[in-house]
Amino acid sequence: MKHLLTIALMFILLTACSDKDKHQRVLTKEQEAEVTAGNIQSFNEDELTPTDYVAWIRDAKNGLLQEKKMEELVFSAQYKPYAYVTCMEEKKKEIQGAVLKEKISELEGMQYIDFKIALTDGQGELLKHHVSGPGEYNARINYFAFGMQHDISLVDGTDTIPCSLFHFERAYDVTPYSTFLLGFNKGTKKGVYDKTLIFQDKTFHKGTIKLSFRREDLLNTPKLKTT
Amino acid sequence: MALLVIGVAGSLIFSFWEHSHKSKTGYIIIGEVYSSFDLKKESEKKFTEVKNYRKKILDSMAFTLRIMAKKIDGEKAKNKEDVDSYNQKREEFYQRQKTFDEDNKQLTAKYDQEILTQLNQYVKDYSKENGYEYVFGNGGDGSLMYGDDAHNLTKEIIDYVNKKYKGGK
Repeated sequence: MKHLLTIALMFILLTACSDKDKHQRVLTKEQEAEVTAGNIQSFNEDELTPTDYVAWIRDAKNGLLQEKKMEELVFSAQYKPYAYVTCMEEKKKEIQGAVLKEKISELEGMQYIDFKIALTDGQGELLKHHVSGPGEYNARINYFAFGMQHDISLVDGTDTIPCSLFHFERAYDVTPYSTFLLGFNKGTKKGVYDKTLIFQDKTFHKGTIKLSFRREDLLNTPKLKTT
Repeated sequence: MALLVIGVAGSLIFSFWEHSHKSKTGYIIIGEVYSSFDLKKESEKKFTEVKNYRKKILDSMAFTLRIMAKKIDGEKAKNKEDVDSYNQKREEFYQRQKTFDEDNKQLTAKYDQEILTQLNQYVKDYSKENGYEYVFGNGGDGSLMYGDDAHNLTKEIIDYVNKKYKGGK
């Protein structure tokens, strides 16, 4: 009995140590950037198929999807690793290694985030939410399409980076949400740091909206399984 | 003996039930939460910048007016063109001053609304996450006359709202 207990105790200790080692694996700053690019494996050694990979990235508990409820609205930001962008563009169950590599080289130098504003009850049309007339409606569309870019920035470590790629994904149906595809240049410092998306809301009177991605979560991204 | 056991068990169940069904309440000192909220500090800074910028414009206009007035005062025979120009500039100054005052008031109201919207949401989030049925606000207006220190959530709420505002969970 005593032996059994000792063995169990040793097993627990060993497991705990190996877990600790996994999370304390030291990466160079260059390697950290490669992790978020999808070129090398991160702390998370899982290799996921495109379907599972997309599901993992979209799962809020993994930290790459951040949401903030503010009264009748939900603001959310989806951080998009290059492999995720590739999966979304390729829309295939299997992706070849060469294809991923080529896509990564195209995407490199920028970081991509989808920003979404939605009505919490999932009903109605966001573009017409609290709009008093056609003039205000057109002004809102115009602002969403052009002006809003200047009210968005990304704090990456100590750098504040303006939004340099901006696309308002216009849905012509009645939708309770609007999506904005954002691109930011990489920070000046090598490595991966906490990132905070900042949106100065001038439409819905909610003030400054901040959504943060933690460095640990960014480095915990799994690897995309390729063929 | 059996009755005694039943009695003890019953009272234990009752006290557990009473404890678990007791409403959890707390209170916050609104002024402290408001002034410690990071969004409030940031908005205040932005407002001061805008206000100072506007003040600079008005100061510059007032300075020009003073020079013009001095020039007109020094003239023995008042030049009509100078007087007209002065009156026009003075009218512009008062107009601009009025506009800036109104804009400043609107901006303050806008920031206040944004701050209160976020504070209300975060306090609601905190209450739900921590199982509070009621969180009262002590605004110093007599609506909450007394609260035991043990129920004072001000510090926790300040930490929570600032963490939430920064985008943390």
